Amino acid sequence: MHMKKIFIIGAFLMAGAFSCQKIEEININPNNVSETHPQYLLTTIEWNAFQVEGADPLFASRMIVQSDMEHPMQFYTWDRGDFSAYNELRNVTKMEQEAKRIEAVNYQALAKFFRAWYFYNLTLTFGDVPYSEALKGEYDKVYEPVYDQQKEIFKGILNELEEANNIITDDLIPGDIIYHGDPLKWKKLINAFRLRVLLTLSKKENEPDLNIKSRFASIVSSGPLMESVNDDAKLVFINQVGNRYTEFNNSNYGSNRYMDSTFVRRLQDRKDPRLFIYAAQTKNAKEAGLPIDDFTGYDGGNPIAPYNEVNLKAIAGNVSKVNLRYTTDPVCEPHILLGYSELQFILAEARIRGWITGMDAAELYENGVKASFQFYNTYAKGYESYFTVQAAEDYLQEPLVEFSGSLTNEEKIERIITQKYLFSFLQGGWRMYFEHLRTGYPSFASLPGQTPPTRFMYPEGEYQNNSENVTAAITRQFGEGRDNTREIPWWLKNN
Amino acid sequence: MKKILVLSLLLLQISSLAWAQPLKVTGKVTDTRGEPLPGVNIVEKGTTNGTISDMEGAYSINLTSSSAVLVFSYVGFTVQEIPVGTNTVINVQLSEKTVGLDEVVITALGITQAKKSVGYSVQDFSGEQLSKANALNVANLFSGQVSGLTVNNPTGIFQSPTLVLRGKTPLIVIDDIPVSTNFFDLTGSDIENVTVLKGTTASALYGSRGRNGAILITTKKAGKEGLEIVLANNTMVTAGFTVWPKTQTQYGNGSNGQYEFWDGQDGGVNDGDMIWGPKFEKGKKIAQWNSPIKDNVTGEVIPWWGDVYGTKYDDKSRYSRVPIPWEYHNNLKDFLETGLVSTTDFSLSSKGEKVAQRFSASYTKQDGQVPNSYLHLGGLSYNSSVKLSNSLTFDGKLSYNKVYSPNYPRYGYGPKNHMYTILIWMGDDVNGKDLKRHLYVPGQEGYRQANFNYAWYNNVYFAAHELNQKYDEDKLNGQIKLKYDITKNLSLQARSSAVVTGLFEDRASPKSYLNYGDPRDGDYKTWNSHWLTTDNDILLTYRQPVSSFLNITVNGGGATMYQRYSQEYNATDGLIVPWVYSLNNSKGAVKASTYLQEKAIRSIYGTVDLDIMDAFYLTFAARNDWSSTLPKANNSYFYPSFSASVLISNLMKMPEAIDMLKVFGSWASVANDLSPYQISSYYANVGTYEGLTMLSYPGSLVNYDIAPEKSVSFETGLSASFFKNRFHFDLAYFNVVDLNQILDLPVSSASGFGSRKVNGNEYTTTGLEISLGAMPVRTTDFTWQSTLNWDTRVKKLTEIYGGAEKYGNYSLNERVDNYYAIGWMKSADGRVIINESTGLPIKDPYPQMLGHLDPNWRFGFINNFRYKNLSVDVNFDGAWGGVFWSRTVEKLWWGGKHPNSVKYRDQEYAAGEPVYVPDGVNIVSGELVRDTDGKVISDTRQYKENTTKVSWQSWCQIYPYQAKVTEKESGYFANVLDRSFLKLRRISLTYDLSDVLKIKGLKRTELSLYSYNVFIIKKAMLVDPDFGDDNNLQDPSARYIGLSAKLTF
Repeated sequence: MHMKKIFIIGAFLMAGAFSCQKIEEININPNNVSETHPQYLLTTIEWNAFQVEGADPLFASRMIVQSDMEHPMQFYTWDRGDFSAYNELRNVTKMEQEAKRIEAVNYQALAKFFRAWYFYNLTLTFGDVPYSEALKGEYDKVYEPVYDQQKEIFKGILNELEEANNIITDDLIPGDIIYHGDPLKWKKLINAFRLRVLLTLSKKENEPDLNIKSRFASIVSSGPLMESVNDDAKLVFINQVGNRYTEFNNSNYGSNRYMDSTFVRRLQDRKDPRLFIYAAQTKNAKEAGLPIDDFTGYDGGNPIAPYNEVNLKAIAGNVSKVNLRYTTDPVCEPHILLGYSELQFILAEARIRGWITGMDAAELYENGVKASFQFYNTYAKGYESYFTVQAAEDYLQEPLVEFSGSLTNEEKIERIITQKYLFSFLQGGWRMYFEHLRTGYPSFASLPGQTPPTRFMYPEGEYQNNSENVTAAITRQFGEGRDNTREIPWWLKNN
Repeated sequence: MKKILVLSLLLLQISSLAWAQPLKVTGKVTDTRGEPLPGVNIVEKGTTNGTISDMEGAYSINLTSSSAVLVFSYVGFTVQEIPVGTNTVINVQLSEKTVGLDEVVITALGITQAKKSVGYSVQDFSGEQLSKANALNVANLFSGQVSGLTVNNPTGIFQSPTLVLRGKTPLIVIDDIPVSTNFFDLTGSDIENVTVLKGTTASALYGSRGRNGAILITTKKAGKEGLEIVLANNTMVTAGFTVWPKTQTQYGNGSNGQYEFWDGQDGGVNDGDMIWGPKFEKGKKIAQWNSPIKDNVTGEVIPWWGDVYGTKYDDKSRYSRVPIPWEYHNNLKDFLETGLVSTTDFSLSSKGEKVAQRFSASYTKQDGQVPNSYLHLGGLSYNSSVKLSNSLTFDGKLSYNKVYSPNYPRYGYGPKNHMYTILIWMGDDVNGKDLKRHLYVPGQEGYRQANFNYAWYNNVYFAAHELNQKYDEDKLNGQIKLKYDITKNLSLQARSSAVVTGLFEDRASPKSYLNYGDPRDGDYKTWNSHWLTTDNDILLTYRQPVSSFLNITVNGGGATMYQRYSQEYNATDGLIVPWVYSLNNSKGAVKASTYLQEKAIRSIYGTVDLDIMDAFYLTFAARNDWSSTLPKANNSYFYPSFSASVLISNLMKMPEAIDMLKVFGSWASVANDLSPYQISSYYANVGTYEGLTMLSYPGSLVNYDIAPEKSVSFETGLSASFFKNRFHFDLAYFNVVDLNQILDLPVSSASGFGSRKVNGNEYTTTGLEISLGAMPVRTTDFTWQSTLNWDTRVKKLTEIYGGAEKYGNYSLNERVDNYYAIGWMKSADGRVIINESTGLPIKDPYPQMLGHLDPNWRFGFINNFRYKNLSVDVNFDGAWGGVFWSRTVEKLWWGGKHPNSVKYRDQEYAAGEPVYVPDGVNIVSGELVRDTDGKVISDTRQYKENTTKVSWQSWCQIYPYQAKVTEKESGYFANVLDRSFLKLRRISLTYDLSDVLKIKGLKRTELSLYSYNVFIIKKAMLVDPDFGDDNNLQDPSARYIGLSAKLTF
């Protein structure tokens, strides 16, 4: 009797213990997929690439200041940058692979665009970076990619963009949250970006094997190019959890962050109404009841004074904070990666430099300014009246704005770059800083004996995990151990 | 240690005077000198019927059988067995003997072994240690009890302690069943014994789960014949603080000595942040957040709290805030309430010839120090053992535990943590009592909190009362065991267990609640989680018939483990109506997700135990696991182990002083698998945009060929007792080599990935553990027993993947607890380099080594004094050496509440310009060039003494905050502190009232008065190093005093 019971129970337990189900089948993940249509990656890539890049470029570009600490970006005490762009490039690489798998050419074209986009930013940030061997960790097991020379990276970027432009088809692109799948608009963006890349190399216009000028001219003549603000590459934020404006509710703007006096001054000098949407009135101006469009109601903190001085000036009620719209409006304004306005400025500068003919630089310049006004007329809620067509016309008559024939070419370039700069508040990330490094415009205040840094040090992780290659890159570019923030990378060296 | 266990078992047995009894035997127990022996354990052999002798050595026992044999045992004395026969009076003389020899310990899989035969480190302590005094969590009381076991004790309510055994996280086993527990679902009074299997040998039989050693918790069973009821209450309350974070009390909110409130985000004068404001002075008045509003036109004064945003008063041209006195408030003290922990236990056990069963129930209520924080712990447990026949025994256990908190505090560095707000960021000018009375801006109840700041912080009372997070866990643990003695020497055991856990959590956040970038429109989130773990095993045991030369025991068996975890999550996107916390009240679409995970391990194992001449004990064990989480080719792994114990004192004649001498050694190899779903890559769902799903590919590369990781451990030690057992000594040296580790090896991020999974690296941990047991005093009336535990260990990186020279910051053969962090640039001779134009230091982009995180050694000192019926327990523990980083200190400097931050304020405000000249040097020329390892290529720097004056506030906000400063660099500004401390963990006075209270039916009455977390001597300022770290800000470390009463019927 007992024997029998034991037997039954034992058998039951044995069955439980050594049941027939294959043990490895338990390890199949029911929650996620390991293969996907590239469209789901495209949405992620676009969402991430189009985010507002935050305050660091604003500090570096003399637009805001910090009053409770010595902000390293503001005081140009930079040290290491980061390689987080490669994280985004991982998804780009996967999108390319998934697109090849299902032979979806347009996703391959877009992958090339985003590769070019991120590598462009990476090389401007550091100098030489891994490019040809980069992103090959998964299938080719390259864990310590070599660094490519900046010039070769630029060549690669231009080739990839050209290829992207060539292969893109008329097929709609599901998952695209920028142009809702319109391949023509993507072509326009790719071409606009090609022009930006070429213009970035303006110091290399005579580099023999780059053919910068002719490439530029041929893109302009063959097109297609952006024709209006409707072609802007922009991300529209929506009032839903996870899709709100990047800076919405960002506590950092809550206290101790103020406008930079040099930026405020530049806007005031030009009677530029964009001041009203970037900055809040000073406390004193607000309490005195000054109207929003009174330019005297704004001021900033000196970016090179001890931060305590800014604090004291703020206590006195004489420093503007950043306009609340950026942190209290859940959709605020779209973030433009590259738009019609910038393209017009690019063309204007190229025209001045003589890279292209047949276009009127003044008209291009004015189009650029008008496009910026049009943007705020559309998106700056409550400020529409300062950005009418007439307001733009008036603004273009301002002495420091007008693009008259009496200006020298250099002065014209200064005006073009300055206008790009003035349309960069929480727009375009580091672009304006790079423009400054390339052209020197507009000038950035620095402590005596100090100049704005020209690059970031390589990340700690590279020292630890790719030491041989990063050492070679440092030595090759700047000399042994000279991974410093004021070394001059290739693109900034005059031919 | 063992003695305490036995003693407490004895004490338990006092209450065993049986209900109805046919036969009664009385007598007296003495030692060889004729002195009476109190507390001798007298048990009827083969039963758990027993008693203990009283102060005069007298005993009386009712027997259950006419052919009974009485067993007399007492710590340090030879056990005697005397057949009763027809005697009704039996006087016994016990002789002192080697201690510990006949003690048994429970080892892996519930196999009981004689302590003398165990060839590896095992240490245990009795549950009595845990029931006399309470703590916030029962595991807090494990501190110092076992050498090699570190307990980190958090200071807040519902923060679980972390247990670290020889530097790793041990497996927790309750009644032979491995569990995952935070110890809140465990009732202290149900614990009979805690055994710690320190090495991997001890736990090789638990498979990979037991690779880091195991803590075996045995719960109480019905021990005595008849019926016994125990009723106990244990209540403790906070009584002051062992560690109090003392801050400066002279200056309030503001910056540069100035402040005035308007909107709490820089709209006034420095009202957005910082406590670098005006000094508290009699008669000084400043407009504050709770200032009434004055209509400058009509002169009307309106009481107000908070900002005026969105009201008609948001017009400075017409309204102003009336200045009110600028004075100090003791806000943290006022905020904290009396903490209370109260436990009520009930147990009923009965034992008959065939059935032994025990039922227990327990309820604990905790009221936290933080307002509106509560914890309820409840448990019901039933176990029984039934003799189905002479050869068949059934054991069953069913327990249910509930852990319920309607709201518990949030920790971590951020606006959710009350300490973040009240300790670091709220100036003491703020009237906390007003914050408490006025949670909302007048007229905006439910919509806008009233506070002194609207940029970074919440009204700390609003956060405590209006945000509620719930934790509601139900745990059901059932197990059955059948044991069949097939023959006299052969037995078969089958066990099956299941632990089912359901956990519901939610969080209700009110509108205007601020957490940096999180939505501020209120929200409601729920998490529904379920766990199921089943374990089934069978064990066949063969015991060779007893021989004097060789005894052999063979065990063989198989097991299967299955785990399943699932979770569903729901969240609103904003709330429509305030205070309605329901998914229906969501402004935007509800966000939801689910997750499911499964894992199984199947195993077979066997052991062979040899006992040769009662002097050599050898154990061979082997196990093989098949894990579901590894690639098919590598999913099987083998664990061999071997241990030996040699009882030298049984082999040769020892000097008289030595009672017993044992040496032991063991070797084991264990393996470990992965978490589920780690061998393939899966896209993660990272959100949606307009209904489009966003996927992202993970940044860690998987490895389809990953193999299990391995640890090989070697251990040796000796165990001895001297001077008739008055002194006991255990020593163990261990060496654990962790090799073939499953690493997420960092790779260049330019590869597209941050890391890749490989098998590699080797870590070697060596350590020494010493346990000294002593009974310095043992007389009839007074005994003092004491145990001193001491341990030290060092873990080094002894091989790097691919033969590399460095792994991250670590070089070959370097301690892996070395603390690397960003510090300030120093001159060649170690002085801080200061920028001559700004007067501020410069960060070193290369991480600096600032000390090691593990202490040099740790100790525990456990004492029991017994005088007649009074027993006093005094437990100390602590650590020496090592460093830890204090976030509290760092942030207090930044915010301006650090006690040292007052030094130059008055002087500077009076001068109207900086007066402080930091100690350091300026570089006048030259430069430092280093390679990627930080090695100096060239250093041509020339220095001069710094003379640049700098704002004191700026210096304090930068030097001790923006990089790490050790005590060696500057004792005044240090934020990396010495870990050393000595803590009086617990002191308790227990009085046995049995002799005083002679109530019918009441067998025993015990009263204890105790204090927990009594005092500390430490080197680190402001924080309690016993917490383990200070990364997330800690509650003040409260002292508790308590009273417990235990009645046994």
